[in-house]
Amino acid sequence: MSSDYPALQPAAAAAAANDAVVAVARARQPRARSRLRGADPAKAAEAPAASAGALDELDLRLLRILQADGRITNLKLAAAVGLSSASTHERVKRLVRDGTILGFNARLNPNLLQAGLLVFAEVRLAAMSNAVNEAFKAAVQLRPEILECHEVAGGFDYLLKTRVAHMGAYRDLVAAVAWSLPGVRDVRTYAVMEELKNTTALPV
Amino acid sequence: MNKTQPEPSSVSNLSNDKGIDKIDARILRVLQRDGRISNLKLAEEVHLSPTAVLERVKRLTRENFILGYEARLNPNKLGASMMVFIEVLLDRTAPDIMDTFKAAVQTRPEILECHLVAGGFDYLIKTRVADMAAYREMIASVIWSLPGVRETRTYTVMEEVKTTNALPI
Repeated sequence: MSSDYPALQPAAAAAAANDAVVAVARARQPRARSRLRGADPAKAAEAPAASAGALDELDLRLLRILQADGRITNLKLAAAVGLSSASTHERVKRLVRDGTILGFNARLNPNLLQAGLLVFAEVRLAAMSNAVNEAFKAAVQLRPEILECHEVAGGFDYLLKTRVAHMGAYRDLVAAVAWSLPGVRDVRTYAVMEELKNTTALPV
Repeated sequence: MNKTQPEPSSVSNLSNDKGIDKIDARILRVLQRDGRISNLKLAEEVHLSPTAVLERVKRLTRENFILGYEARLNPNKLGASMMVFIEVLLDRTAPDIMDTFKAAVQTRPEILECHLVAGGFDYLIKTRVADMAAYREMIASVIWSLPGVRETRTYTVMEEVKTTNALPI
């Protein structure tokens, strides 16, 4: 869990901005935030570590920081939450072990990596049959340009989120994934003109 | 863990267009998968000296290929297990209405994404909430209260077939 790289200034700035947004949201939303109410960091530090399954305020602070800066050193993380580095390390290990933290990853710049065009696609199948569903889901897993695929309840069956270099690449993708499958009735394409907000950080 | 395995051919074809070489692409792929890997292990994976790898990671960060690092958290353990998409139609796309909308979506952490799209509606919003009641509260206080919103359509996700934020490299 050691980090050899210097702290990222942009990440830190983003974290600060994120905190501000979260703070505003929290002020507006007392009900959903009730589990955090009255949690004083200093007091929480004296409390014993959370029992199995339950997250205490310190866990949530660790998660919030790690969402914003996944490569923060254990030492800095400990200083940020006011714990010893040993118990910080232990807590992070526990959060990984119990599946609260699924992993750590670098966030890359799509505009520099031939993935600057974000396109959503709504896919409707001719009929919901298991065979068609399975074929479609298998095709989706094969293509790295498809970042997300969700089976939804509503006016269509699948919502796809794709990142491609340009419209030609998107066309090739749709041809390979959707048009070649017998059960796909139609694909509606929505190209993104502006990303007003784009984060993977969960509200913690 | 979502592991995206791009075909080997796409690497050699694309890496030149991107201004990065094959080793850079390998480094980025590893870091997308394991953002907390030690420099020593990363060096082993890409068969370079630790010093050379450190230098490359610094350069990739300086040149904005790497924007940051993040922990990927489990929505099911954090009261955010329900994913809902919203399509929003505006009465008209006027600058003031769009600015208000843009500001409103920033205030709520349940709104993970909001995109202005070209097509049959204006905005596509991705949200993660605990349940339908939380969703109802969120859409009522954030979206329906805004001026110029003509219609919203809700699509609840029944199954997440695939979810990754790893770019194809």
